[in-house]
Amino acid sequence: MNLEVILRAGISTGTILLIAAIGEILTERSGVQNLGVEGMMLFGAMAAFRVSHETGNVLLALLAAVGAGGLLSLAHALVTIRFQADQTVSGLSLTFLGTGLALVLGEGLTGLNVATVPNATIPLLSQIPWIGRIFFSDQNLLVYFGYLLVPLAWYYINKTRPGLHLRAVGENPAAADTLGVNVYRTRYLYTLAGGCLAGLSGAAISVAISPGWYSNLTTSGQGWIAVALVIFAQWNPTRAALGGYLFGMLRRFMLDLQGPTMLLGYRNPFFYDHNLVFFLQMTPFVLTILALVWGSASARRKRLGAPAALGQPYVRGERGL
Amino acid sequence: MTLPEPNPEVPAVEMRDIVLRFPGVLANDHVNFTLKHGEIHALLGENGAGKSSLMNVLTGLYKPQSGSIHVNGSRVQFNSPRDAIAHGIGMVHQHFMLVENQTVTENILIGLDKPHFRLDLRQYDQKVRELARQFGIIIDPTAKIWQLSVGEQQRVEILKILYRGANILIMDEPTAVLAPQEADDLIRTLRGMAAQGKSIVFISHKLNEVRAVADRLTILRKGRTTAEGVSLEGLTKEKLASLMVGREVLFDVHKCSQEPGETVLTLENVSALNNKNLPALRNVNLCLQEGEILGIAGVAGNGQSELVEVITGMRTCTGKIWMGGADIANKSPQFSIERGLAHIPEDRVGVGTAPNLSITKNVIMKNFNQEPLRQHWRLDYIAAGQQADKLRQQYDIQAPSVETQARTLSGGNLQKLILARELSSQPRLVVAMQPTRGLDVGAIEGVHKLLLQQREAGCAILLVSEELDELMDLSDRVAVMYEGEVVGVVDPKAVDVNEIGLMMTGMLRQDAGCPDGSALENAAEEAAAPLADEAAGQEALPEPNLPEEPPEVLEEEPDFIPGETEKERVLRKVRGKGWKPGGRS
Amino acid sequence: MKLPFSLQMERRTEETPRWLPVVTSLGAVVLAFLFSAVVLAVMGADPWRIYQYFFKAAFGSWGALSDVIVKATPLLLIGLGCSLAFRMHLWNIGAEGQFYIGAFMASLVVLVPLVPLDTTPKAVVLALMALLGMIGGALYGFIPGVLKAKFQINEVITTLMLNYIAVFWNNYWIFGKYSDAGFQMTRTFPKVAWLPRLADYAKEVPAFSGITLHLGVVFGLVAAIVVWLIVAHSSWGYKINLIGDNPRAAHYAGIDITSNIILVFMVSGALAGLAGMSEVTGVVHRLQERISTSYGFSGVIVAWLAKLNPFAVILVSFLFGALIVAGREIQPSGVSFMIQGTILFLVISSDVLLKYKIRLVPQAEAAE
Repeated sequence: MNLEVILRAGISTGTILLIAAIGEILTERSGVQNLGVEGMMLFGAMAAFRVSHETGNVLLALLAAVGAGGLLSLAHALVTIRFQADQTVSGLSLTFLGTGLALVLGEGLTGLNVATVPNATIPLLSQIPWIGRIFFSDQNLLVYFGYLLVPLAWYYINKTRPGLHLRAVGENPAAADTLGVNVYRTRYLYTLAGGCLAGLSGAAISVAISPGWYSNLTTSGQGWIAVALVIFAQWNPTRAALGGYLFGMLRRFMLDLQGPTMLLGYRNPFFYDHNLVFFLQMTPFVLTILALVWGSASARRKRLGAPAALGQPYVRGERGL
Repeated sequence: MTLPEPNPEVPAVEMRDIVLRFPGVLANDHVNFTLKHGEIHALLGENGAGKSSLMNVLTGLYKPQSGSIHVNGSRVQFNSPRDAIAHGIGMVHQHFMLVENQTVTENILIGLDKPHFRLDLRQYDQKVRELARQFGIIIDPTAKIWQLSVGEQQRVEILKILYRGANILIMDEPTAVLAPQEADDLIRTLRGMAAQGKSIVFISHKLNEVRAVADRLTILRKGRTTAEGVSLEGLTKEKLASLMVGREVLFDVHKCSQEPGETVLTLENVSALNNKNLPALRNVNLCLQEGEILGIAGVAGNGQSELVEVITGMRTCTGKIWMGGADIANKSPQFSIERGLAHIPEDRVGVGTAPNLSITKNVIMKNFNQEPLRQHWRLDYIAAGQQADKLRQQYDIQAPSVETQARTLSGGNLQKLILARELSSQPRLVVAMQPTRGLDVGAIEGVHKLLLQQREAGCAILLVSEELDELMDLSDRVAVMYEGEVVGVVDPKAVDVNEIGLMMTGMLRQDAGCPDGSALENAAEEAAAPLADEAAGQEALPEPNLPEEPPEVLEEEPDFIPGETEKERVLRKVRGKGWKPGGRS
Repeated sequence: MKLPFSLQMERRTEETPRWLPVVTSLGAVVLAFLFSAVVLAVMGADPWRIYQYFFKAAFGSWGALSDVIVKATPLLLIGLGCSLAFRMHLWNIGAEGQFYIGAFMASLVVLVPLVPLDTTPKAVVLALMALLGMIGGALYGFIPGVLKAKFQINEVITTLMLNYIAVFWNNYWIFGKYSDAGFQMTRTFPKVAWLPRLADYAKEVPAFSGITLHLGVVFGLVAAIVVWLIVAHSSWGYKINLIGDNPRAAHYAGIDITSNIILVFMVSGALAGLAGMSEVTGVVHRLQERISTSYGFSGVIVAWLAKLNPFAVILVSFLFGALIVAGREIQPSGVSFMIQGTILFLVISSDVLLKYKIRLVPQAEAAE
């Protein structure tokens, strides 16, 4: 059980979660909840894989994934913002739709080899002892993209004017509206952005980090974990990245736990009873629930917690009697 | 964004013949409104009269069906709030439009084109500080909104529109959420701004402030102007009170005099906080007897809503509320419903009915769990339908059938539905909050008749209303509330309307108490001991004064202590009136 | 693109016509099939042939019909449970997990075993399994229910997470203690724990040979009647309807919302748990890793498409059962998934018509 290996694996698989989670953070910060991430991820994974297979051009494949996710999220945006349908159900339906489309259009792709996004080693940084080996050596290009995405997202949300508007629309859309911010357009934009990133994260799986197409096993629930990760991270990109890496490490760790016969001087239960690993597999999901409980308790004050207008359609000044 | 120089010859704003309609409501009915440069113009009217709607038209939030708006003499068309802002119009809403977890500066910068991309808060903090200084406003630009007191938050709202170069400011009920000292500060600030050439619309209820701040006033009633641009110079407070209250006597009410019976409801030292954690009720003592109507008069926002909520179990409080021999304070609504409480809520649509359910299902909301409708687990909908049909005829509810959805009913019919439901259960106590709001004359008459019928049948009625006429006509006694206290209980036949008006505005105060001392005995004993026993329990009376003493005029406001925060000032003022903290669990 | 008119949405002020929800649901289904046909055509398949095959695969023979009903049974039970929860706007997406836990708890009767299997009569064993299945589902529904009721925690996420946890929990026992010779399933249940099937009577009625239709469908139909009775005729159903329509009014009327949230979640879970029991005793006759082809999620769609009406749920679950059966043999394999997703999406999009009227406004008027 090598810490270095676990960290490397964690960062690698964590990037997938991170990209999707940051996309969802953008969407939810504007007040829209998109539960269709899993479907968009799968659809994006399939799109990237197919385009890569047909054209051999990885960049085109990535673009296809972005477009795929974006297309589905556009549908979600239309239905929830314009038609004011319930965001939960719409998101769920898009998971189904995205999954179904991915399975149908991905027919025949299983087991193929396609052009993938290569790994790379960053010249100077990889020479830093220990850190360099983990973070900057032989990691996929998209992992490095993830490194950049996090601070960029953080900066955008917290230190720029459009970020200010994004936050305002999610917290108090009426306030933003009276000051002339176009609430509808803002929500459309960030829902689209979230969907594009979800698609990209799918591509990160199928043509980058865990290359291959295994129909719906390709994503195996990571889209849902990404959505939960957003809440766990309290809508903060940095925390989402850390959480993503942590989850990635956990997965690797769980695999490694079953190897050695001795663990910290005691009989390793996971070696002797391989089935205990199922409890390990539960951990991310249990942790998410616990994080939600903790989050709701400590986030009583409005300065922590969900964007205040999350999940509520905005209707300008509807007055009744 | 440079604004044209305001032309002093022409009015700053002229709204001509504005008609604004919503589905089912005519909010503004050919309204005219003129605002002169550098003046503070008060806009008065009851809830639902159309003042906020009119101003929302001016700020570009709503588009009127017809009519025109002229700013600085030229006609304008607003398609969105941005257009209004571009013309120098800004509104401080009653419900603040602030993002709580952002700073003052951030809130001010929302919607602006500068800064273009990078948010350099420090630079803008400085700008905000300078702007605040220019108008004598004290604020910390780096504070987050949730950290600020209500008064400070309001100042942020003002700064928001000043920052955008607004010359025309609209203040929507600005003092509704402020303590008196904060209100004085605000008025001082507004006067300063007007002196610097800003034109201000001041929407309000509070007459003493209107007199303190405004130059002219306009009154709206049910979407129409009843007084337009009346100058406040030389306007006595009596004349003002009468203008506000209106001299429309709509109908005759036949009220027979009768002796009230036993005490049904007693409030003992009840205090409660409102949704903003400010004191809403302070040591309220009230009692209500069978067969009497106790009216609660007062300007909106002085604790009436909280009073009703506390009695009906929808808000927590300290103190005791006795009804039917039990303390119903801090219990669930079910508890008091079972003891014969009926509640006609202020919000017909949001609380009183379920819009997508049928009339039948709405009518049985209170008694669905009892015989004869309930048979073990079953609900006899057929019997329910019959009950509903009977009530429909009895109360003349206009609807195609009892199965139609409640949301299709007009306001008057909806109110009849609620009344039918609440009154048909033969309650001991009816709490009615604004029962005739938004109704036409015929409907109002019908409601009054029903309430009086209940009174004759021995029911006790607590009637909260903003229509003073209604209260005077219907009530046997009227309690006036000001800032969460009962400042007087009067006999409507004996008292002058203007005296009540003065009480409502805090100028006059009588010590209030219950008509007979025994009512404040532990009401639990009441069930056993006959009411005639007045000898016992005199010590329990907190207010021994009798009305022969001259009414006290309110003392001077406590001084402003430098270095005190808003919150501390408020608390100190409040504690000074005998309020004990820790009212809310 | 400047059109000569614009579409304006106006809130409906009169009553929604009774036929409109049915039309929108039907319309959604038809459109979904059309859309899927387009996608299939793009893939180079012949959609009409595929649809013909669908029809044959689902309705072509008694055997097929029986398969459809068998697949529809868990959808029916779960759809009913979800419809109840959705009436109160409680998004129980955890039906999948409740299904698994219900299957697990029911299986315990056989696996532990909880009663002597060779002497206990069949009816008792099955009744016990059904009871445990419902209890398991109810307990598993209690968790998100109490989290929502007391702490206002988003039940969508908690139920979703619990789904995964349930599968892993089951796997632990299936792969471990109760595994059949190291395979990833338990040993086959003894006949006493099999729900009676029509095929069991093949000796008396030769036509029944091979027909897999089992008693579970009766559970479903009974449950539909019970749910209908609750919703349309009971005082509890009245409370549920009221809370769902206007929680503030329900509070004002004195109804305890917290306990009702928990209760409804538990009933919804119990029905899903019963579906789990029905599946392991009626179809697979063992506890294994995969006992659900996303019944939990399909059940959500069924409930929504049926507009929460219990009898419509029967119809819609039948339709979806047909989709699943037909979809089994169709290439590409995700077709039924895609159709289901499209249906749901279109249903919720069309729901807007229930609240708003769409008007075509000539552009001249709109630019006023």
